Amino acid sequence: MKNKLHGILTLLLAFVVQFTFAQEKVVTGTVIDEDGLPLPGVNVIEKGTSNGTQTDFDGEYSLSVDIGDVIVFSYVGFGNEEVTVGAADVYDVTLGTDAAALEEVVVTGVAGATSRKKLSVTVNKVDSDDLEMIPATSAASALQGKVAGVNITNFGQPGEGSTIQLRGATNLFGGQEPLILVDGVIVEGGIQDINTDDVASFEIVKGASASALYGSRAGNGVIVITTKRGKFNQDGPQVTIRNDIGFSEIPNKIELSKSHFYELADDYESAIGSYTKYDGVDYPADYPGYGSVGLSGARAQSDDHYQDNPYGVLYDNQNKFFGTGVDNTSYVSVSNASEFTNLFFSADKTENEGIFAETGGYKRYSARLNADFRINEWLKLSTNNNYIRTNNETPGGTTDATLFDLSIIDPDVDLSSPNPDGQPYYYIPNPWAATTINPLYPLATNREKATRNRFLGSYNLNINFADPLNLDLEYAVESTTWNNDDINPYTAFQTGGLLDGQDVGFSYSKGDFSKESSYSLSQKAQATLNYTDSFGDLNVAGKLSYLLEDNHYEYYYGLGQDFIYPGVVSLDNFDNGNTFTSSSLNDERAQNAFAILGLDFKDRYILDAMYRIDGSSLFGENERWNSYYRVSGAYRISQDLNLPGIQEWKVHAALGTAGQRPGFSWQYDAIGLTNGTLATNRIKANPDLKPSTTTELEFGTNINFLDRFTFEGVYAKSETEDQFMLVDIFAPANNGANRQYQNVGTVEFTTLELSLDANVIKQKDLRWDLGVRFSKTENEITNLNVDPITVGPGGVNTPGVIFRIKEGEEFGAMYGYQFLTSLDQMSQQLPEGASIDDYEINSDGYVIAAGTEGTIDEKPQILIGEDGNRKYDKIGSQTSDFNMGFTSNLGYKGFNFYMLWDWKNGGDIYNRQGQWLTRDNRSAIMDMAGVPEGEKKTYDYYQGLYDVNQENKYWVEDGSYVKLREASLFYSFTKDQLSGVANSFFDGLRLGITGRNLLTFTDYSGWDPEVQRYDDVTQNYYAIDYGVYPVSRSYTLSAQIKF
Amino acid sequence: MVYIQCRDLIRSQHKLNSKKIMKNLKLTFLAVFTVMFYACDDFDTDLEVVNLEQPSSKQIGIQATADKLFQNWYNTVNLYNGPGLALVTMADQQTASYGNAAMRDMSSEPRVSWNNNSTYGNAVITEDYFNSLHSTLADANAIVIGVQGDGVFDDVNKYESLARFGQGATLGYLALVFDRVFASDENGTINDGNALNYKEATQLALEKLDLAIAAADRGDFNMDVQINGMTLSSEQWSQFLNTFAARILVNSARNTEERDNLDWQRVADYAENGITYDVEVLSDGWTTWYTEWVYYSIFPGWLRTDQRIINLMDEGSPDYWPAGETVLPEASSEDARLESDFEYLTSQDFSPDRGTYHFSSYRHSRYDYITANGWVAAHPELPEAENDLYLAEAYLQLEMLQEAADVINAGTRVTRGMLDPVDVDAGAIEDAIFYERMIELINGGMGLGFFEMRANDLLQEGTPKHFPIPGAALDAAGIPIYTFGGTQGEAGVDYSDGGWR
Repeated sequence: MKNKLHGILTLLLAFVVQFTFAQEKVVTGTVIDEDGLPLPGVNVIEKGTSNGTQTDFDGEYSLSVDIGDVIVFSYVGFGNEEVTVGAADVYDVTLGTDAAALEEVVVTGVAGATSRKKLSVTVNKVDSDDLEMIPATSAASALQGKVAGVNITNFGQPGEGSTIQLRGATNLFGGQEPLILVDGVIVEGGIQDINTDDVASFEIVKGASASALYGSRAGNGVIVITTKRGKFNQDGPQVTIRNDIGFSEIPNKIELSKSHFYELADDYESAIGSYTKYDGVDYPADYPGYGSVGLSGARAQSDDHYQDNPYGVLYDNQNKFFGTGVDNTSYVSVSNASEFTNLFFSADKTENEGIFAETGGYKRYSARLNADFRINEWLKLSTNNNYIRTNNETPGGTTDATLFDLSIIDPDVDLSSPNPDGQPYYYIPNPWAATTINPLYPLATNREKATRNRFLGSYNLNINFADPLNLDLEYAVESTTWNNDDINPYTAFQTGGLLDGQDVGFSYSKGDFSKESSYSLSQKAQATLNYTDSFGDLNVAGKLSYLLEDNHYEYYYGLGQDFIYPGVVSLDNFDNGNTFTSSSLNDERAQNAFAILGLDFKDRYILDAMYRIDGSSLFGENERWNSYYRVSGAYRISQDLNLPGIQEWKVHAALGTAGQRPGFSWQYDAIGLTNGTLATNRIKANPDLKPSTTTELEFGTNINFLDRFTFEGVYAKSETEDQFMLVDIFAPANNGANRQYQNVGTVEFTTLELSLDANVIKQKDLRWDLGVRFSKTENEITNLNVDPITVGPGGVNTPGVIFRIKEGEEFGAMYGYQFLTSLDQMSQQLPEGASIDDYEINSDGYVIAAGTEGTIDEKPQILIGEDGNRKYDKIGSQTSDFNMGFTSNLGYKGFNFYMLWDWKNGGDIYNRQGQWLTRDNRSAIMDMAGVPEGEKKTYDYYQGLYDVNQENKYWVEDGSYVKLREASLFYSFTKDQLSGVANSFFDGLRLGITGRNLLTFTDYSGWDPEVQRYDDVTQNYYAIDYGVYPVSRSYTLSAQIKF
Repeated sequence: MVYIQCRDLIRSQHKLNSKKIMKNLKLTFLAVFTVMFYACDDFDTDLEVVNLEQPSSKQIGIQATADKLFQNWYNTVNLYNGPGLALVTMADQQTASYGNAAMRDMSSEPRVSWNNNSTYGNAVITEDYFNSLHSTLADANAIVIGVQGDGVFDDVNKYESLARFGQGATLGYLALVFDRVFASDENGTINDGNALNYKEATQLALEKLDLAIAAADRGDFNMDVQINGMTLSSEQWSQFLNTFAARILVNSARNTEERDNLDWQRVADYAENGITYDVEVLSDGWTTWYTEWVYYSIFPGWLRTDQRIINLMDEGSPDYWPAGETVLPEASSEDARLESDFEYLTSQDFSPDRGTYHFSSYRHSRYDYITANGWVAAHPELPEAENDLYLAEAYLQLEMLQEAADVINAGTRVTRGMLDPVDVDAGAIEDAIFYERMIELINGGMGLGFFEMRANDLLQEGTPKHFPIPGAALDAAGIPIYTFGGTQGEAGVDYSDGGWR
């Protein structure tokens, strides 16, 4: 029977072959672009087979096919064309550029390159057209406002870039940064150094369901960056040169008090213009107006305690501290493609000086070579090589110390005053604050410079066995060395001691010098078997992949104190007893495998399923392997229903899981070791530590309507289980260990993302595109199987350990104390014997003792809890209510005017800096000068509000803002317009001006509402304003030529 | 015929395809090989990664840990984020209006209870101290097990003595600062994991210190790296342990009654066998050996000396800042140390709105050389003068007044203070001992001024006499939060019910 069947099938096949074979012939032709120029290297393939060729340098081809076959012409950057072979022998084809079609194709997180119209999960794409609207300062900031649910918060310090958060915070511990891949390299060192000019596209996978393919590192979503590749140009290699020059400045100064509450000397006017002459203080005749040498006595507070007395002189010290930073960028790229090779080279030099006086900034030099080789018709090699060197100068001292001292120093202190030995910036200029160092002194004296050398490379060999199978073999590597030198010279001052035998309150420290160095090597090897085929109306795509990761990190540090020979900067220039070293070493490895299958039937019913298993050395030894999955489906309604005005309508749903890996040391039984001494603050091992797992259910819809609108809406509900937390444990019962990393509970999230794009005007000379993005995320800690804890960035001045992790609470909730704002509250906590009539509400809305308003006894009343102590309760939340981005792109002929508005609604900031200012009576709210009599308040009242730096609701401010984030005006000259210049040498010229952070509308009282401070315990950023380098405003002129 | 043609064609095509695939495969394997060859050189995929950077808890019961026991105890007890700064201001020995390290909260007037919630901004000052001392206790226990077991030690007596010191010092310092102690030793937890009260814990600490003394007395060795900047013979180490034990015992008292009822013969025995030299620890630039709370206490612009101390030296100077004054005239005293150890200040750094009771015209300048030398200098952790005062008080309590007076008159009262010898009078001797502890030992051992004020019922009313077990530890152990101070706890034992003012 089997033989019989075989015979019949062979016979049938023979007939078919005979029939078709009999029709074979050779067809030829030329492929040209829309300008009539021949295109070499175009793929000319018989559809559904591996029979094919490429056009030669003149765009000509020749191929043996049969009548009735379909020939597909494809070329990167152009739309595909298909031709059915008939009687003719010559088929000339014109390929049109099809940017729109290109935009639609997504490759991240799916079974194969998929049109966005057929995606069953949410993957957003930002391509080079969007990016070229305005030269971006960093790869992360380029995404700002362009995709709903992508929240970018910028750092002010040059070179620091931004933080990226997709769909809100998901991890109590472990950070919110998405997994980022650049040309297949899993980027460990951040993307702040990646040149945005090189980026061809970002694909952004926000939710766990879409990112499931990336498994245990993708719980925060995935961003895949693809860089540019060489393109064919008729006139040979295309050269692009761009030069930007601009400057940055502080956009806003904080308001400070210009008055004080001390009695002035009777003859205080004699010192006006020089210093403030106080009563109770004896000044030497030659008092220079700064320092404490020769002073005696103390300032006497005025009887009324109102801060309304003038200073003898007022300096704008913020003006002296913040300068204008020069920014410039030079960029060049060369691009070419031929039949067998395409090449893209670029180089850039970028410099951002920053806005701190006496401090350099960030310099980047990078070069890229992307080269693709078509070795033969079934073997293709793609390579990406990117070298980056950055030189970065950190402001001397710390931003904590310098910004703190800048803000609290009295305004009658001239920061520019010289030291007794001639060094600039008198070390302790304020005679009434012996611990306040001149903030300009460390900027000028302490040099801290880092150099980073990075290489990112990826090499992909694609082997087309025989359709429909092909194999990708990929090796990717990121190697980074980082060196940092920190020098305080021999003559750097320290508090105390004698300077040249004189007691001026400070002396030479003899200096110190540290060198730090780190090296990291991240390697990835991946083999992926790709399958793409069609069976009638059914299209099938699949991948089978095995992925290995090896991340190695090492670090060393050397410090010497007290230079022996001044001016000799070497670690050999110290006594042995004054030198210290340390090192660290991390190795992280993973073995992962996944399979994914995508089906689409009749281009409208789409189904996708995947499974992945990850093994990681970061998982506890009892939990080495963890698995992830996704199922998703989509239905293109518009394929079945012809709805008026609707060109495309798709609905989709996905359910999937992704995770986060624990930190390197979290599972180990290991005791910290420093200088040979065991740490006494110990963490207990946890061999059962699992990765956290985010499960997401996502629904979405995409509608293109009225030929000019594109709408996308996504609703996602997710939960992250097995959240990590560093949990307090009882040291006496745990061999002295007091904490342990544990999987502690679950956080649930809901996200709504809406975006609408409109081609409002699309005429030949006039174009206007508008885009609106909206996102809203809510979360709740639904289960916590340990006691609540409070986390946040700590530090010497405890900036903000105020974020409460507690069941039923949202992540990002601020906890602390508060003052009473109603008499009802007061009636609940009346002291014994007191009556509610003894209290009243003051003009600020706080409960005070009746009759004390405006007196030294006016004090805000603290809310008391049931236990009789101050009530520790929710006082705010850093989670925003929603975020919106508006883009407008207006084009008229060669002009293009682009704007990006950014609106963050809600989301509180804890203004720790403002609180400290009040401690030192420097807060503008305390300035009673000009306040009508009867409305003045004493400093005692404000000291009550200061609340000894306890976390208090008074210092929680609304961080809402609307920013004109970016605006640009460009004029592009066409090749025709330039035809009369330099013998038509130029292909294009683009001139323009851009501005960033031009306008900010906010009620926030600090320098800028865009603040975030890192906490290395939770590895998260928090809205704490203390020591934060302010985000600057910048203006840039840009000129770009192409030839 | 047609069939044969077709068959041949199919065969030839199949052969062609097979050949192509074979060629592809060969090249593919070559390619794979090339990639793997390059990639695998330092590409490790073994998931069993060992943490090579830090020792595990199984590795710590060794000599190297023992050599660091004193250092870990010392750095913990003297932490900035420890109780030292709060205690010195609670004792009205030094003063500061700053909120740092709970100084302002705990020295505010009137005194308030200690906020023992884990959420309190200054909770760290007891948390770190508690946790660190328990880590060091665990190390000491592991070393005792090593000494008693198969551990390799250069000198068994030396390392047993060090390990027993580690147990005694940590248990003793927990008992000095907290109301109760969850104790353990080499045999595991004591009292079935339930807390000992401070008196029981003090006795346990003394038992361990006695074992340390016995091992030192048995041995013949040098402590050469264990205390930075000092080399002690086993005999000198034994003397140190004796004085140390006297410190733990004498300072354990929470009030006068408890002080009087101490085993004074035991104190006398310890002190008579105590140090005849100063135990000075060399700070190394604030990197591995540091007495942080002292650095801050003496740092220019930070703490000042409480007027109460100035008044002790000069009765003409007020013991409390007078209202309406911004500067006080320079004090004068028969005690030479007013000149040598203190600096007169003509202006006030502290803001009056924090309470002028923080004002003072003096700061303690005796150890300014530490600051001036960039914190590379010796600081007396346990001076001979301290031992003298334990001995003198023991003689006083044992009614050996002449001996007590002799000890005092041979000591710093006369040698540094240039004061008249004290009379052989119980009251005068008692005053002289108190005076020396306030003047001579200021900014010496952590908490000494507080412990002395506590034992003499002199802490301002409402001041906690000891701290509760830290809130975070109570939460972790499932024990309800409690606290002391204000009116919380037992009057006279847990908080002061009446003090020097």
